Amino acid sequence: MGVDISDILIKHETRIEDHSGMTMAVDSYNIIYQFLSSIRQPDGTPLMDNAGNVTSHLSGLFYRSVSLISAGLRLVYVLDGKPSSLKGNTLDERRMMREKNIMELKKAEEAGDEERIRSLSGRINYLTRPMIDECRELLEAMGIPVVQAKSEGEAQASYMNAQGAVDGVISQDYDCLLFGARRVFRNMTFSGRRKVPGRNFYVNVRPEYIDLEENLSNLSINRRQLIWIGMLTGTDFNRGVHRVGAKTGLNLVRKGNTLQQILEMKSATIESLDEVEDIFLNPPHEEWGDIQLRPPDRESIIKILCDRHNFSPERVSPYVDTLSKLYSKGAQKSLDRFF
Amino acid sequence: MTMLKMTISLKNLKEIADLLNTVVTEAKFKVTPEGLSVKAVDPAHVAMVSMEIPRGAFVEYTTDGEEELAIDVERVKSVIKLASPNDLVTMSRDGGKLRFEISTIVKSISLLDNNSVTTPRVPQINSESYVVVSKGNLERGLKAAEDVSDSIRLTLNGQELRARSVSDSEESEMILPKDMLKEIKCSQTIKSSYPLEYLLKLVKSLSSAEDIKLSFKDDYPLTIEFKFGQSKESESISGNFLLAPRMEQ
Repeated sequence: MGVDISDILIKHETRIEDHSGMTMAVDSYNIIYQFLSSIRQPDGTPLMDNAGNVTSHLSGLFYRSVSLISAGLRLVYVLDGKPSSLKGNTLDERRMMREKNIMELKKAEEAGDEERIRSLSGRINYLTRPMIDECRELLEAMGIPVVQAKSEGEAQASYMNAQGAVDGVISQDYDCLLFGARRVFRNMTFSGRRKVPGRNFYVNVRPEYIDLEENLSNLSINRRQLIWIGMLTGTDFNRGVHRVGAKTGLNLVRKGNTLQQILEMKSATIESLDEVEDIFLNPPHEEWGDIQLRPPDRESIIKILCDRHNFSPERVSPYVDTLSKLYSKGAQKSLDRFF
Repeated sequence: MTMLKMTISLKNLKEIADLLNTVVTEAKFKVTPEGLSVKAVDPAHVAMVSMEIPRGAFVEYTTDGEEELAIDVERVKSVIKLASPNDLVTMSRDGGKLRFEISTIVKSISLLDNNSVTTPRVPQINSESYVVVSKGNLERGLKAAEDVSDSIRLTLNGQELRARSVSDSEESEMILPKDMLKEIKCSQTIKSSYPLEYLLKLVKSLSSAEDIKLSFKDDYPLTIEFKFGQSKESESISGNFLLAPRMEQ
């Protein structure tokens, strides 16, 4: 999902510890979905507690957050609010895709095709209301600030970055750049080998960041023009124009054409054009309040993870110690706050 | 492609490279007929160095245009290790390479792709209060704190400068009363903490400085101005170092 403008962007491979001291807003749904699809048992089923409840998201959220915080990052998790009505098409498509996968999975189970079962179950992710509520509860127990977005999490996170409240956004989606995020960090929540979806091989994935200003100046365009390129290739809020990818879009925009002029040239239209452009230019957002780290609450963490979901207290406890220690260390600010 | 040839004392070149190397391993210089300028920030945007090297700071400086030179600072440092303290170093652009002539040695290193090295924006930092301390005193205070914590808290009032580090079990403090300070301008008590490692690396890399000027205010970036080379304005290398504060919980 998201916008496909990867081809025209400069990305810098990086190490998480190089960004020690930075505060980063996490596009939480994006990351939680990643945990759900990547944290799995060998047979492809997600991690579960004794009662059969999925716990992959909690495991990812807890262990991975502690490891990022240990590397010196300050995290602020941004949770999605009500999705924009313009996102209807994307959501319908996702729903249809999921239903199709569920049907296919049933067939594969009947046929006993294990390879296929593993592949399909990796694609079916449910993120239910109670799961999200529990994520919030766990984060709060860990002392990690949580911000409720007005609608899309990536819009809120990017706006906070544009305003200098945080130093970067952790998300896999390039949309964040259109929303004005100054720096987008990808592949931060797991690195090393990653399985290529639906295929039987692995690629090496390393953390990388994309700097908005650097890219705009390299492409000699402004953010509005980048938004146009995104809209031409297609975003979560609109379908793209047939046969216009990022490179073609860039060429057309660089020739000085407005989005309207390009659409006329291509005899194409974009539904709700003005509204979509406005969402990116003025991302819907809520006030975020206090985003300071708080001391972790050991009892609540143990209650959620161990008592409720059968995590091992011996394994969880040292991570809570790490959190307490990091909390008392103090927060390194970045110079970006002082423009 | 523009022509570029410049000759500078080893001592100055080494100090420039060391200063940049406190924050980055690669830096992009802007070359104009008036001289070189460079800005660099570490990946986490905690520490930034900006420097102006006017043409007068060079023994010889010839260029016929403006360009950018992206340089691997660590490579430069290893090349100039070949030189003796009083040597002059001549650098010239040779296509995609930077050619060094040092005494009997000629050596070329690859220039980096200009797009791969970014030039940071510099934030507007203004602090009215400042203190000028001898480099020796400051370095001693920082070294005392080094094995206690990874940050140091500076407290300045009209009468003294204190630099203090604490951990759960240990603490270290340097107190410099007014008569040990070269200069002080401060009308109220100001406090701010900074990462110790950067501060110590910077102070060490300012090899020719005798005094160091620290400007800051409460929980605000620290500015350290520096100047070295010749004393004449048009021949001295000048710049500043910015360091973001660390907030205490």
